Amino acid sequence: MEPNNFDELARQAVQGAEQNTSLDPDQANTLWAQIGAKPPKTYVAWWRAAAVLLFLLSASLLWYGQDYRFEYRDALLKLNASQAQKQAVEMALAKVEQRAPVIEEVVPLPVPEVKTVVIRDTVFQVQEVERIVFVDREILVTPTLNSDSLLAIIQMQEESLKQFESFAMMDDSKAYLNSFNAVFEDPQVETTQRPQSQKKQSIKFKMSLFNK
Amino acid sequence: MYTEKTIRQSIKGNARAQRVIFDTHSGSMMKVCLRYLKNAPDAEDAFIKAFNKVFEKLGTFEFRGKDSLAKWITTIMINECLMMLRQRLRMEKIEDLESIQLPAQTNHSSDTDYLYALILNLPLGYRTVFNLYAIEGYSHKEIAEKLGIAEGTSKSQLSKARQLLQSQIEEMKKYYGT
Repeated sequence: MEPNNFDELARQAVQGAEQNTSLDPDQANTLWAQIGAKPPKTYVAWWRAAAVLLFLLSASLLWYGQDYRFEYRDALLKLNASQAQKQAVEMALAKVEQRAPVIEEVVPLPVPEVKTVVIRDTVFQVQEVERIVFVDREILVTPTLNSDSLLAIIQMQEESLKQFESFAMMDDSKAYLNSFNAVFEDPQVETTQRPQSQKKQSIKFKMSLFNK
Repeated sequence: MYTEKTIRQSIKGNARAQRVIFDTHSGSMMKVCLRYLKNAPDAEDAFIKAFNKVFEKLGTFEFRGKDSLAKWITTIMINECLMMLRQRLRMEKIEDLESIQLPAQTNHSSDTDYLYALILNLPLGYRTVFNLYAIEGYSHKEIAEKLGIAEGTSKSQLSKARQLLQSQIEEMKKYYGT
Protein backbone atom coordinates (compact mmCIF):
# COMPACT_ATOMS: atom_id res chain seq x y z
CA MET A 1 0.00 0.00 0.00
CA GLU A 2 1.24 3.49 -0.82
CA PRO A 3 2.49 5.34 2.28
CA ASN A 4 0.05 8.23 1.81
CA ASN A 5 -2.88 5.86 1.50
CA PHE A 6 -1.76 3.93 4.54
CA ASP A 7 -1.34 7.10 6.58
CA GLU A 8 -4.84 8.19 5.55
CA LEU A 9 -6.19 4.81 6.63
CA ALA A 10 -4.40 5.21 9.96
CA ARG A 11 -5.84 8.70 10.41
CA GLN A 12 -9.32 7.41 9.81
CA ALA A 13 -8.75 4.60 12.30
CA VAL A 14 -7.57 7.08 14.93
CA GLN A 15 -10.38 9.52 14.24
CA GLY A 16 -12.99 6.80 14.48
CA ALA A 17 -11.57 5.51 17.74
CA GLU A 18 -10.97 8.84 19.49
CA GLN A 19 -13.59 11.34 18.36
CA ASN A 20 -16.91 11.66 20.19
CA THR A 21 -15.77 9.60 23.12
CA SER A 22 -16.31 10.51 26.74
CA LEU A 23 -14.72 9.52 29.99
CA ASP A 24 -16.36 7.36 32.55
CA PRO A 25 -18.24 9.79 34.88
CA ASP A 26 -16.25 8.78 37.96
CA GLN A 27 -12.97 9.21 36.14
CA ALA A 28 -14.14 12.53 34.73
CA ASN A 29 -15.07 13.84 38.17
CA THR A 30 -11.78 12.64 39.66
CA LEU A 31 -9.74 14.29 36.95
CA TRP A 32 -11.80 17.48 37.04
CA ALA A 33 -11.24 17.75 40.77
CA GLN A 34 -7.52 17.82 40.08
CA ILE A 35 -7.91 20.45 37.43
CA GLY A 36 -10.67 22.61 38.85
CA ALA A 37 -11.89 25.95 37.65
CA LYS A 38 -9.24 28.36 36.65
CA PRO A 39 -10.07 32.02 37.18
CA PRO A 40 -8.23 34.15 34.68
CA LYS A 41 -5.30 36.13 35.97
CA THR A 42 -7.08 39.40 35.30
CA TYR A 43 -10.09 38.13 37.26
CA VAL A 44 -7.85 37.28 40.19
CA ALA A 45 -6.12 40.63 39.84
CA TRP A 46 -9.45 42.43 40.09
CA TRP A 47 -10.32 40.54 43.25
CA ARG A 48 -6.95 41.39 44.74
CA ALA A 49 -7.38 45.03 43.82
CA ALA A 50 -10.86 45.01 45.35
CA ALA A 51 -9.50 43.44 48.53
CA VAL A 52 -6.79 46.10 48.77
CA LEU A 53 -9.31 48.88 48.18
CA LEU A 54 -11.63 47.40 50.78
CA PHE A 55 -8.78 47.28 53.25
CA LEU A 56 -7.85 50.88 52.54
CA LEU A 57 -11.48 51.94 52.85
CA SER A 58 -11.84 50.13 56.17
CA ALA A 59 -8.61 51.64 57.41
CA SER A 60 -9.69 55.11 56.32
CA LEU A 61 -13.11 54.66 57.92
CA LEU A 62 -11.47 53.55 61.11
CA TRP A 63 -9.17 56.54 61.00
CA TYR A 64 -12.08 58.76 60.02
CA GLY A 65 -14.08 57.36 62.87
CA GLN A 66 -11.26 58.17 65.21
CA ASP A 67 -11.91 61.88 64.74
CA TYR A 68 -15.02 61.94 66.82
CA ARG A 69 -13.17 60.43 69.74
CA PHE A 70 -11.03 63.50 70.01
CA GLU A 71 -14.13 65.63 69.81
CA TYR A 72 -15.65 63.92 72.78
CA ARG A 73 -12.46 64.06 74.74
CA ASP A 74 -12.53 67.79 74.28
CA ALA A 75 -16.15 67.85 75.33
CA LEU A 76 -15.36 65.89 78.43
CA LEU A 77 -12.62 68.27 79.37
CA LYS A 78 -15.08 71.10 79.21
CA LEU A 79 -17.50 69.17 81.32
CA ASN A 80 -14.88 68.75 84.00
CA ALA A 81 -15.04 65.03 83.85
CA SER A 82 -12.74 63.15 86.17
CA GLN A 83 -9.96 60.91 84.93
CA ALA A 84 -11.96 57.81 85.77
CA GLN A 85 -14.94 59.14 83.90
CA LYS A 86 -12.82 60.03 80.89
CA GLN A 87 -11.45 56.53 80.90
CA ALA A 88 -14.94 55.16 81.08
CA VAL A 89 -15.94 57.25 78.09
CA GLU A 90 -12.92 55.98 76.18
CA MET A 91 -13.95 52.43 76.87
CA ALA A 92 -17.50 53.17 75.84
CA LEU A 93 -16.30 54.78 72.64
CA ALA A 94 -14.17 51.76 71.90
CA LYS A 95 -17.23 49.56 72.22
CA VAL A 96 -19.22 51.82 69.97
CA GLU A 97 -16.50 51.58 67.41
CA GLN A 98 -16.80 47.85 67.49
CA ARG A 99 -20.31 48.34 66.16
CA ALA A 100 -21.97 46.06 68.60
CA PRO A 101 -25.67 45.85 67.81
CA VAL A 102 -26.87 47.50 70.98
CA ILE A 103 -24.67 49.33 73.35
CA GLU A 104 -25.95 51.14 76.27
CA GLU A 105 -23.12 52.47 78.23
CA VAL A 106 -23.77 54.97 80.88
CA VAL A 107 -21.05 57.23 82.00
CA PRO A 108 -22.01 59.16 85.02
CA LEU A 109 -20.71 62.65 85.16
CA PRO A 110 -20.78 65.22 87.84
CA VAL A 111 -23.36 67.91 87.60
CA PRO A 112 -21.40 70.52 85.77
CA GLU A 113 -21.43 74.22 85.84
CA VAL A 114 -20.51 74.37 82.18
CA LYS A 115 -23.40 75.50 80.10
CA THR A 116 -22.00 75.11 76.63
CA VAL A 117 -19.99 72.57 74.76
CA VAL A 118 -18.40 73.50 71.52
CA ILE A 119 -17.85 70.73 69.05
CA ARG A 120 -16.57 71.55 65.62
CA ASP A 121 -17.57 75.19 65.90
CA THR A 122 -21.11 74.23 66.76
CA VAL A 123 -22.27 75.53 70.07
CA PHE A 124 -24.07 72.88 71.92
CA GLN A 125 -26.10 74.16 74.82
CA VAL A 126 -26.78 71.94 77.72
CA GLN A 127 -27.93 72.46 81.16
CA GLU A 128 -26.48 70.40 83.88
CA VAL A 129 -25.27 67.42 81.98
CA GLU A 130 -25.66 64.38 84.07
CA ARG A 131 -24.92 61.46 81.82
CA ILE A 132 -23.53 60.49 78.49
CA VAL A 133 -25.32 57.51 77.14
CA PHE A 134 -23.97 55.56 74.27
CA VAL A 135 -26.74 53.77 72.51
CA ASP A 136 -25.55 51.78 69.58
CA ARG A 137 -23.67 54.43 67.68
CA GLU A 138 -25.61 57.37 68.92
CA ILE A 139 -24.32 59.35 71.78
CA LEU A 140 -26.80 61.02 74.03
CA VAL A 141 -25.83 63.84 76.19
CA THR A 142 -28.61 64.01 78.67
CA PRO A 143 -29.19 66.85 80.97
CA THR A 144 -30.07 66.54 84.56
CA LEU A 145 -33.44 65.07 84.88
CA ASN A 146 -34.66 67.55 87.36
CA SER A 147 -33.90 70.56 85.35
CA ASP A 148 -35.50 72.02 82.30
CA SER A 149 -34.16 69.68 79.81
CA LEU A 150 -32.72 70.09 76.42
CA LEU A 151 -32.32 66.70 75.03
CA ALA A 152 -29.44 66.81 72.68
CA ILE A 153 -28.36 64.22 70.32
CA ILE A 154 -24.95 64.05 68.95
CA GLN A 155 -25.05 61.89 65.94
CA MET A 156 -22.04 60.37 64.50
CA GLN A 157 -22.20 60.42 60.81
CA GLU A 158 -20.07 58.51 58.47
CA GLU A 159 -20.23 60.06 55.11
CA SER A 160 -20.53 56.79 53.36
CA LEU A 161 -22.83 55.03 55.79
CA LYS A 162 -25.72 56.97 57.21
CA GLN A 163 -26.97 54.49 59.69
CA PHE A 164 -28.80 56.72 62.06
CA GLU A 165 -31.69 58.97 61.55
CA SER A 166 -33.31 61.09 64.15
CA PHE A 167 -33.49 59.83 67.64
CA ALA A 168 -36.88 59.41 69.10
CA MET A 169 -37.53 60.99 72.38
CA MET A 170 -37.80 58.62 75.19
CA ASP A 171 -41.07 59.52 76.80
CA ASP A 172 -41.34 56.42 78.78
CA SER A 173 -39.63 57.30 81.98
CA LYS A 174 -39.28 53.73 83.03
CA ALA A 175 -37.50 52.73 79.86
CA TYR A 176 -35.44 55.82 80.15
CA LEU A 177 -34.33 54.87 83.57
CA ASN A 178 -33.80 51.24 82.70
CA SER A 179 -31.34 52.23 80.07
CA PHE A 180 -29.19 53.71 82.73
CA ASN A 181 -27.67 50.50 83.85
CA ALA A 182 -24.66 51.13 85.94
CA VAL A 183 -22.03 49.55 83.75
CA PHE A 184 -19.34 51.52 85.37
CA GLU A 185 -19.74 51.44 89.04
CA ASP A 186 -19.73 54.82 90.58
CA PRO A 187 -21.06 55.46 94.04
CA GLN A 188 -22.05 58.93 92.98
CA VAL A 189 -24.51 57.68 90.40
CA GLU A 190 -28.02 58.38 91.39
CA THR A 191 -30.99 57.71 89.27
CA THR A 192 -33.82 60.02 89.77
CA GLN A 193 -37.36 59.82 88.70
CA ARG A 194 -38.25 62.01 85.87
CA PRO A 195 -41.10 64.28 86.86
CA GLN A 196 -44.10 63.87 84.68
CA SER A 197 -44.33 67.55 84.18
CA GLN A 198 -40.91 67.63 82.65
CA LYS A 199 -41.79 65.46 79.70
CA LYS A 200 -43.44 68.09 77.71
CA GLN A 201 -40.63 70.44 78.28
CA SER A 202 -38.11 68.18 76.68
CA ILE A 203 -36.92 69.31 73.36
CA LYS A 204 -35.43 67.10 70.78
CA PHE A 205 -32.32 68.48 69.30
CA LYS A 206 -30.43 66.76 66.57
CA MET A 207 -27.03 67.89 65.70
CA SER A 208 -24.58 66.56 63.20
CA LEU A 209 -21.06 66.36 64.42
CA PHE A 210 -19.76 67.61 61.15
CA ASN A 211 -22.06 70.51 60.45
CA LYS A 212 -20.23 73.53 59.23
CA MET B 1 -21.66 20.88 22.78
CA TYR B 2 -20.74 24.48 23.42
CA THR B 3 -20.65 27.83 21.69
CA GLU B 4 -18.18 30.67 21.41
CA LYS B 5 -20.02 32.25 24.34
CA THR B 6 -19.07 29.25 26.48
CA ILE B 7 -15.43 29.83 25.60
CA ARG B 8 -15.69 33.51 26.53
CA GLN B 9 -17.29 32.60 29.86
CA SER B 10 -14.55 30.08 30.49
CA ILE B 11 -11.94 32.75 29.91
CA LYS B 12 -13.68 34.87 32.55
CA GLY B 13 -13.34 31.99 34.99
CA ASN B 14 -16.87 30.60 34.88
CA ALA B 15 -16.48 27.11 36.35
CA ARG B 16 -19.58 25.72 34.68
CA ALA B 17 -18.47 26.84 31.26
CA GLN B 18 -15.03 25.35 31.84
CA ARG B 19 -16.60 22.07 32.88
CA VAL B 20 -18.63 21.99 29.66
CA ILE B 21 -15.45 22.36 27.65
CA PHE B 22 -13.75 19.71 29.75
CA ASP B 23 -16.61 17.24 29.34
CA THR B 24 -16.74 17.81 25.59
CA HIS B 25 -13.07 17.11 24.99
CA SER B 26 -11.87 14.98 27.89
CA GLY B 27 -12.75 11.62 26.31
CA SER B 28 -10.89 12.18 23.08
CA MET B 29 -7.99 13.96 24.77
CA MET B 30 -7.44 11.07 27.16
CA LYS B 31 -7.30 8.78 24.12
CA VAL B 32 -4.68 11.05 22.58
CA CYS B 33 -2.59 10.87 25.73
CA LEU B 34 -2.91 7.08 25.85
CA ARG B 35 -1.94 6.84 22.20
CA TYR B 36 1.30 8.66 22.94
CA LEU B 37 2.08 7.42 26.41
CA LYS B 38 0.27 4.07 26.49
CA ASN B 39 0.74 3.92 30.25
CA ALA B 40 -2.52 4.99 31.97
CA PRO B 41 -1.01 6.79 35.01
CA ASP B 42 1.36 8.73 32.76
CA ALA B 43 -1.50 9.55 30.41
CA GLU B 44 -3.59 10.90 33.31
CA ASP B 45 -0.65 12.92 34.53
CA ALA B 46 -0.09 14.53 31.15
CA PHE B 47 -3.85 15.00 30.72
CA ILE B 48 -4.20 16.93 33.98
CA LYS B 49 -1.17 19.12 33.30
CA ALA B 50 -2.35 19.83 29.78
CA PHE B 51 -5.88 20.78 30.82
CA ASN B 52 -4.48 23.11 33.46
CA LYS B 53 -2.55 24.81 30.69
CA VAL B 54 -5.65 24.90 28.51
CA PHE B 55 -7.57 26.97 31.05
CA GLU B 56 -4.59 29.14 31.92
CA LYS B 57 -4.00 30.01 28.28
CA LEU B 58 -7.56 30.01 27.02
CA GLY B 59 -7.44 33.79 26.85
CA THR B 60 -4.88 33.53 24.05
CA PHE B 61 -7.07 31.23 21.95
CA GLU B 62 -8.65 32.65 18.79
CA PHE B 63 -11.93 31.07 17.82
CA ARG B 64 -11.81 30.07 14.18
CA GLY B 65 -14.75 27.78 13.74
CA LYS B 66 -16.24 24.62 15.12
CA ASP B 67 -13.18 22.37 15.52
CA SER B 68 -10.60 25.06 16.22
CA LEU B 69 -10.69 24.61 19.98
CA ALA B 70 -10.38 20.83 19.69
CA LYS B 71 -7.26 21.22 17.54
CA TRP B 72 -5.82 23.78 19.93
CA ILE B 73 -6.38 21.54 22.94
CA THR B 74 -4.96 18.56 21.04
CA THR B 75 -1.76 20.48 20.36
CA ILE B 76 -1.39 21.25 24.06
CA MET B 77 -2.03 17.61 24.95
CA ILE B 78 0.55 16.35 22.48
CA ASN B 79 3.16 18.82 23.65
CA GLU B 80 2.60 17.74 27.22
CA CYS B 81 2.92 14.08 26.24
CA LEU B 82 6.10 14.78 24.34
CA MET B 83 7.59 16.63 27.30
CA MET B 84 6.95 13.54 29.34
CA LEU B 85 8.37 11.28 26.68
CA ARG B 86 11.43 13.35 25.91
CA GLN B 87 13.26 12.21 28.95
CA ARG B 88 12.74 8.55 28.38
CA LEU B 89 12.29 8.38 24.62
CA ARG B 90 14.64 5.96 22.98
CA MET B 91 14.71 5.42 19.28
CA GLU B 92 14.60 1.67 19.56
CA LYS B 93 16.17 -0.32 16.85
CA ILE B 94 14.00 -3.33 16.43
CA GLU B 95 16.09 -6.12 15.04
CA ASP B 96 13.51 -8.75 15.28
CA LEU B 97 10.04 -7.64 14.19
CA GLU B 98 8.55 -10.96 15.11
CA SER B 99 9.28 -10.36 18.76
CA ILE B 100 6.41 -7.87 18.93
CA GLN B 101 3.21 -9.56 19.94
CA LEU B 102 0.17 -8.87 17.81
CA PRO B 103 -2.99 -7.75 19.62
CA ALA B 104 -5.80 -10.26 19.36
CA GLN B 105 -8.12 -9.64 16.42
CA THR B 106 -11.17 -10.89 18.25
CA ASN B 107 -11.16 -7.95 20.62
CA HIS B 108 -11.87 -5.48 17.83
CA SER B 109 -15.01 -5.02 15.84
CA SER B 110 -13.49 -3.75 12.59
CA ASP B 111 -10.26 -3.49 10.65
CA THR B 112 -9.88 0.17 11.58
CA ASP B 113 -10.33 -0.69 15.23
CA TYR B 114 -7.62 -3.31 14.83
CA LEU B 115 -5.35 -0.85 13.08
CA TYR B 116 -5.91 1.55 15.97
CA ALA B 117 -4.92 -1.19 18.39
CA LEU B 118 -1.81 -1.92 16.32
CA ILE B 119 -0.83 1.75 16.42
CA LEU B 120 -1.16 1.75 20.20
CA ASN B 121 0.93 -1.38 20.31
CA LEU B 122 3.87 0.07 18.37
CA PRO B 123 7.19 0.44 20.18
CA LEU B 124 7.62 3.83 21.78
CA GLY B 125 9.87 5.47 19.21
CA TYR B 126 7.93 4.17 16.21
CA ARG B 127 4.64 5.10 17.79
CA THR B 128 5.69 8.65 18.65
CA VAL B 129 7.00 9.48 15.21
CA PHE B 130 4.09 7.74 13.48
CA ASN B 131 1.59 9.68 15.61
CA LEU B 132 3.26 12.98 14.91
CA TYR B 133 3.75 12.44 11.18
CA ALA B 134 0.90 10.30 9.98
CA ILE B 135 -1.82 11.34 12.42
CA GLU B 136 -1.02 14.91 13.43
CA GLY B 137 0.66 15.98 10.18
CA TYR B 138 3.96 17.33 11.43
CA SER B 139 6.94 17.39 9.09
CA HIS B 140 10.13 15.46 9.83
CA LYS B 141 11.89 18.74 10.53
CA GLU B 142 9.24 19.68 13.10
CA ILE B 143 9.34 16.20 14.63
CA ALA B 144 13.12 16.35 14.87
CA GLU B 145 12.89 19.66 16.72
CA LYS B 146 10.18 18.42 19.05
CA LEU B 147 11.94 15.19 19.93
CA GLY B 148 15.51 16.37 19.78
CA ILE B 149 16.47 13.86 17.15
CA ALA B 150 17.87 14.06 13.65
CA GLU B 151 15.51 14.35 10.71
CA GLY B 152 17.00 11.15 9.34
CA THR B 153 16.08 9.32 12.52
CA SER B 154 12.51 10.59 12.26
CA LYS B 155 12.27 9.32 8.68
CA SER B 156 13.78 6.02 9.63
CA GLN B 157 11.42 5.52 12.57
CA LEU B 158 8.41 6.38 10.44
CA SER B 159 9.44 3.95 7.74
CA LYS B 160 9.88 1.17 10.25
CA ALA B 161 6.56 1.99 11.91
CA ARG B 162 4.73 1.70 8.59
CA GLN B 163 6.59 -1.46 7.74
CA LEU B 164 5.72 -3.02 11.05
CA LEU B 165 2.07 -2.04 10.89
CA GLN B 166 1.66 -3.31 7.37
CA SER B 167 3.38 -6.58 8.13
CA GLN B 168 1.15 -7.05 11.17
CA ILE B 169 -1.93 -6.40 9.08
CA GLU B 170 -0.74 -8.93 6.51
CA GLU B 171 -0.06 -11.41 9.28
CA MET B 172 -3.54 -10.92 10.61
CA LYS B 173 -5.08 -11.40 7.21
CA LYS B 174 -3.13 -14.62 6.67
CA TYR B 175 -4.04 -15.90 10.10
CA TYR B 176 -7.74 -15.14 9.90
CA GLY B 177 -8.04 -15.73 6.17
CA THR B 178 -9.55 -12.28 5.53
